[in-house]
Amino acid sequence: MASGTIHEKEWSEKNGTVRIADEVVGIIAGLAATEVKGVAGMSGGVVDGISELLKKKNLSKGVRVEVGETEAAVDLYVVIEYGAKIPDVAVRIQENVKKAIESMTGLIVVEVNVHIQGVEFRQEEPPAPPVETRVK
Amino acid sequence: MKVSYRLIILFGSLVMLAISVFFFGLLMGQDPLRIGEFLVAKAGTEGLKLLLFLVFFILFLLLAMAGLHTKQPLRAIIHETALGEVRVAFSAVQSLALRSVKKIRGVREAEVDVQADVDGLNFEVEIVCNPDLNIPQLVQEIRTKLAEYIRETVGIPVNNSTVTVARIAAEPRARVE
Repeated sequence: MASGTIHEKEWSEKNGTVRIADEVVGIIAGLAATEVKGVAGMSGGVVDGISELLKKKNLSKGVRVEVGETEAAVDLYVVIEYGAKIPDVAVRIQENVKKAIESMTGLIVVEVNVHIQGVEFRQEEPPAPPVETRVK
Repeated sequence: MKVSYRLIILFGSLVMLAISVFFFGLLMGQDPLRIGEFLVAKAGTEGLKLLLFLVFFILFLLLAMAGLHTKQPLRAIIHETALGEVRVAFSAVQSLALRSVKKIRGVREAEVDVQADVDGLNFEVEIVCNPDLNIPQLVQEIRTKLAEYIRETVGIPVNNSTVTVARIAAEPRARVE
């Protein structure tokens, strides 16, 4: 979970400062991670569950970020789909999250730790019955 | 810290607050609930005193447990990559292994336990199998398929897997031919 307290990145620019809250980085990381094929979802704790009940949707669920002046480190708590190859999925998550954060915020991502918390088994659907046609 | 421990500590702190308010009241010469009288009364209050003793003693035990409780490290398999760590929880590996074992023909029920070694994983599998099967062949199949599946999915070799056939399931007898 991205912490609600504001550790912010500041850029000294001509017209002022640009600040990026931890939660924003958390949301970017969460969305980038769930985009990866083989990821069933993010795994949040009790606090994430409660906040999800209160809010509409917790986009930074299962994400913990540490943001410094110019760098960021991310921890992702992930549930993967049954059948996915964990090392491949994990590397794709790391690459996608790094790319997303760096391109959207300009922060340098130094570490993306992926914690595989569980596996989701989707119920195998029975094969659809053959459609009977009226003509041969 | 677990939510249950937090609740115990919160409850304990509320009890302490109530006791401190009681003593403050005594200091001010106030005892609206007449707790002082209750404490010195000798007859007729033994049952309630026993109950209060038990409540506070249990609270003491819970608080002591919460204080002494140390967080168990999460058991996980760790891969190092260029971008950081990949930690796979043992429970995830266990559920994958269980699924792969249960898929094998002849296995009716299964339980899997996983342990990490320096260079790989060790599995302990307990199964209930169908009757009329070649058990050594089934055990060999389980070991081979489990090792292959885990290596392919988790990316870690399986050093050893012990398969125990706990029971052979009774085949339901057909009542009609």
